[in-house]
Amino acid sequence: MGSNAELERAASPPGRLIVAAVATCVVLALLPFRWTWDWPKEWVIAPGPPITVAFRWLARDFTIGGVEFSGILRSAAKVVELPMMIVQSLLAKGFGPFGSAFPPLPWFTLLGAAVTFAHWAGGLRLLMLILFTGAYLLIFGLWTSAMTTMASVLVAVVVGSLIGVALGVMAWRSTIAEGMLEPLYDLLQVLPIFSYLVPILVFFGFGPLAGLVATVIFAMPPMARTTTLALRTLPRSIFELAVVTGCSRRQSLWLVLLPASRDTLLVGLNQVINLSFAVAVFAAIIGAGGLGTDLFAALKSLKLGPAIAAGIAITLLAIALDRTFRALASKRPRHVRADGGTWIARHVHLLAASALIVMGLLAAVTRSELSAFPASWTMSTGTFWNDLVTSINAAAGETIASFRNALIIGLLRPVKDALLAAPWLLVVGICTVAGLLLGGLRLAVTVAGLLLAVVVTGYWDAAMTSLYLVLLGAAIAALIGFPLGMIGALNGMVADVNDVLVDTIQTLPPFVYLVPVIMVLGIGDVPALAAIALYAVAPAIKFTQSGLLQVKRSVLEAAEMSGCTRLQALLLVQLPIARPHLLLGLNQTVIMAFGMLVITALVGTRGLEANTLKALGKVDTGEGLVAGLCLVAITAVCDRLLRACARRAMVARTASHG
Amino acid sequence: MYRTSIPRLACFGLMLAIPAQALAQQAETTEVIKLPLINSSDFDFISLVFGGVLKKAGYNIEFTPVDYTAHFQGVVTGDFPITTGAWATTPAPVQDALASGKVEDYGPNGVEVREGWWYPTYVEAVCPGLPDYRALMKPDCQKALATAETAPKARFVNAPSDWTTDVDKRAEAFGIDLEIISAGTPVALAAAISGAIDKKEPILAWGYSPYWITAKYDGKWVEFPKAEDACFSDPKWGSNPDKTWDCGYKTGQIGKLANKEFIAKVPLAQKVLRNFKLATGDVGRATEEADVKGRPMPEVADEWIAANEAKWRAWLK
Repeated sequence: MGSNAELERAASPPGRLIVAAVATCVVLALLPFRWTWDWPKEWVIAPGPPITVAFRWLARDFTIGGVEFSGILRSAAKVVELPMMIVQSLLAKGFGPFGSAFPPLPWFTLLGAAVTFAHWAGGLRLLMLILFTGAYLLIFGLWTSAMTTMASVLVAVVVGSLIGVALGVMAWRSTIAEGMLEPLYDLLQVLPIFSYLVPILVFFGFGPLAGLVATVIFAMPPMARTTTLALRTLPRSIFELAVVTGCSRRQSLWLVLLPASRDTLLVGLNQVINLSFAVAVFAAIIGAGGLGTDLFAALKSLKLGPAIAAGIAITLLAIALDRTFRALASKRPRHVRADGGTWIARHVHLLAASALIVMGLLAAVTRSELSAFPASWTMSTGTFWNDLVTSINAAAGETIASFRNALIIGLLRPVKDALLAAPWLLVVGICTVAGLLLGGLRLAVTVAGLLLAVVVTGYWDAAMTSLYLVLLGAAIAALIGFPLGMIGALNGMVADVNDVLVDTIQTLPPFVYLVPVIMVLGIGDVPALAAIALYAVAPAIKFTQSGLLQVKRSVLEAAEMSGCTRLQALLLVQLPIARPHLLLGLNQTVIMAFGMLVITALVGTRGLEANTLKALGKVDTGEGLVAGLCLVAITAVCDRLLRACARRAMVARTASHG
Repeated sequence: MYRTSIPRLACFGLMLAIPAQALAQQAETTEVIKLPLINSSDFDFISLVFGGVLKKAGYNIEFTPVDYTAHFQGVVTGDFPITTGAWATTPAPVQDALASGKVEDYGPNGVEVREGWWYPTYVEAVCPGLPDYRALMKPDCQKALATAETAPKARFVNAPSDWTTDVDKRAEAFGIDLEIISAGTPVALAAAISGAIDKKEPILAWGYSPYWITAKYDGKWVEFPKAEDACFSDPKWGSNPDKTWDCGYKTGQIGKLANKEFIAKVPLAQKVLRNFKLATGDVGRATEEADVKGRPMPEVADEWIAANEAKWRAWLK
C-alpha cells in the first residue's frame, strides 16, 4: 500500500504516463511466453466446487437452534407473501383452495373500477388506454392469466420502487454507501438468473415469493440509480428553499426534494415497471403462472399466434400501468371551493368505483357464471403467424440466408476471432493502461484485478465470446438509439412514438420475436445479436430523450433569444446540459446488452451465459455463480472504463471553455 | 384453469365422496400436494395422469409449473414431494437429489425414451449413405451441413447445454468433424429444426422421442454401432481402438422419485407411485394430440384416465 502522496503523484498526468509506459513494456516483454496467450489448464483456480459444497450444506444441513436455516427463511417468506397472496386472490385466483371459498372479482367489476380510476387520474386519454387494454385481454381470452401476472407485478413494482428510492437516497447521502451500492447494482442487473435460481428456490420455496425476489433483484437498480441522479442534479435553490422554510431533514427529503425530482424519478419508475414485467415472464418457469405460462406453453409447440397474443398483452399491461402511475404522480391537488357542489358531485369517481365493486361482489357470490367472460366472444389469430413465417421462408429464404451469411463472414466472425485469438495479457494490458490514463491508478488496479480474476478462474475464452456479442450489440444500439432520442427531443410526436417503442421493446418478451427470427434466420449468433441490439436500444433512446427534454424552458428561451436555431439549441445547449443523463444512457445501454445475454443463452450463444445455464443443469451452484460473477466482472470493466472516458471528456471540455 | 366456483366445489365434494365408497382405502391427508409441470408434453402428460389418479383416490392435487432442473430440489425440500419424470439420460440432477438422502428412487415408469442424432429425410440427398454414421464423414456431406458460422465444419444443432448428450465425445471417437451449437432451450431447438425444414435446408440435430418434432416431421436417426457397456469403459471396443464412446445411444428410462419424509405419511399414494406405469405409445400419442393438434394437455390426460379405468384401479390395490 503506497501512501496518499505516492498515489497522488502516480495519478498526476506525467506520473500516469510513466506508469503506463512501464506497464506497456512489461506486457510486451511477457508476450513471447505461451501462458500469456492461453492460461494453462493446470493453473486454473476453481472456487466453484467449494461454493457448491458450502451451498448444499447451507441448504440441507445448516441449523440454528435446531431449526433448519432454510426453514427459518421460509417462515419469514410466508409473512412477506401474505399481501401478495391477497392481491392475487382478489384479482385472479379467488380465496380458498381453487377459489372455492370466495371467487375473484369478476372482469366487468375490475375493468369498470380501473376505467373509473383512470378517468379520475388521467382523464379521457388514460380511460381509453385502459379500456383498450381490458378489451384486448378479454377478446383474446387472456384475462385470468393477465390478472395473475398483474398481481405479482403490482407487488413487485411497489416493493422495488420503495427499496430503490431508499437505496438511492442512501447513496446520495453518503459516498461510502454509493461506492458499495454501485457495483451491487451491476451485479444484480447482470448476474444471470440461472446463477441464483436454485438458491432462491431452496431458500424461499417454490412459491410466488421466489418470483418476487427474482423480479425485485432485476428491476430495482434503475430506480435507485435514477433517485441518486435526480437528487444530485437538483438546483441548489431547491435545497435552500427547504432550509429557509424550516424543514427537518426528513421533511425536506419527502416534501421538497423528492417531489421536485419527480420527472427523473418517473423515468426510474417506468424502468421498474418495464423490467418487472420482463422478469414476470421468466418467473413463469419457477411457478408464478400467468401470461408467462401461456407464452411458453404456446411456444413449446411453436404456436406463434397465442405466444404473440400473450406477449402483446404483457406490453399493453406494462404501458397501462406505467401511464397510470405517471398520471397519478403528475396529478395536481385539486383546490375546490367550499361551496363547489355537493359531496356526491365531488366524489363521483369514488362512488362509481365503489358501486361497481359492491355490485361485482354480489354478482360473484350469487351468480358465479357471470364472472367469466363468455368463451364464444373470444377470438385468436389462428395459424396466421405460423403461415406467415412459412411463406417468408418459402419466398425469401435464400435472400435472407445470403444476407445472414454476409453479416457473419463480414462482421461477426472477424470480431469474434480477433477477440479469441488475442493473448489475454494483451487485452488485460490495454484495458489497464486505458484505465490508468483515463481514471488513474485506482481504476487501473480495479480493471486489472477484475480481468485477472476471469483469467485465473479459466473463463477467459467464454468471457471474450460474451464480450464480442455485447460490444457489437451495444454499438448498433447506440448508433440507432441516440439519434432517435435526439429527434424525439426535437419533435413531440416522435417523442410519443419513441416512448411506446421503448416500452414495447422492454416488455415484449424477447422469445416472442426470437422464435420466428430463428425459424427464418436459423439458430446462431445473428438472431442473438439482433435481440441484444434491439433490447439495448431502449435505454439509449429513453435516457437521451428524457435528458434533453429536461433542460429548463428558460434556458431554451435564452438560447432562442441569442439567435440559436432549434438544431443549434439542441447541439450547443441541450446536449451539453443533459450530459449526465446521456452518460447514464450509454452506461445502461451496455449493461442492458450484458443483461440480455441471459436470453441469448436460451437460444444457444456460447459465452459465460451458457456456462451458467450448463451449471444449472448439473446442479453446480458454485460453477454457475463463478461464471455469472465473471460476466459481472467484464460488465463492470466496460462500465467503469466508459464512465472514466466520459468524465474525462467532460473535464476537458470545461477546461477548454474556462 | 381452475376457475372454480361454488357449484363446482359441490361437484368436487361429490367426486371426493364417490371414490371414497368405491375404493377400499382412502387418502390419508387433505393437504395440498403439489405436482410439477415443466411445459414439456411428455413430462406433463405423465404427471397429469399420475395426479389425476391420486385425485380419484381423494388427494388434494395442485399442478404447478416449474423449471425441470430446479424441481428436483423441490423433491429434496418437499415442495414437490413426488416427480414422475426423471429422465435417466440426464442423470446429474437426479443423482444430486438422491445424494441428499432425503429422496427415494421408485424405479422407472415404463416409458422408454429414444435419443440421438436426427435429420429430416431430405438430407439423404446431400449425404448419400445415411442413416449410417460414416456418411457424415464424407467431404460433400460435411460441406452441405456446414453454415457460414461453422464452416468448414459441419453443424450439429444440439439440445440445451444442460442436457447430457455426449455429442462431442462421439464425434471425437468416430472422427466426425462437427461444430456443436447448443439450442439453449427445447423451444429454440424446435424452431431451428422446423425453420430448416421449411426451407429444405440440410440440418443435423438432436432428436428425442416421445417428442412432437420427431413424430411430426419425416426424419431418421443416424445409426451407430449398438451401444454396450464396454464401449464406454474399454477403448479397445469398437472401431476406434484408442477411444471410448465409439458407439450409439442406449434407450433410456424415465424414473419416479419421492421425498422420503412425505411419502411415509401417505401409504396409498406410495402404493400408486410404486405401481404407476405407462406405455411409451400412450405418451407418444398424447404429445402429438397436444403439440400437433393443439389440444390442452389436461384434457388429453383426463381422456386417458377415463379410457383406462381398469389399469389405474389396479394401481390402487
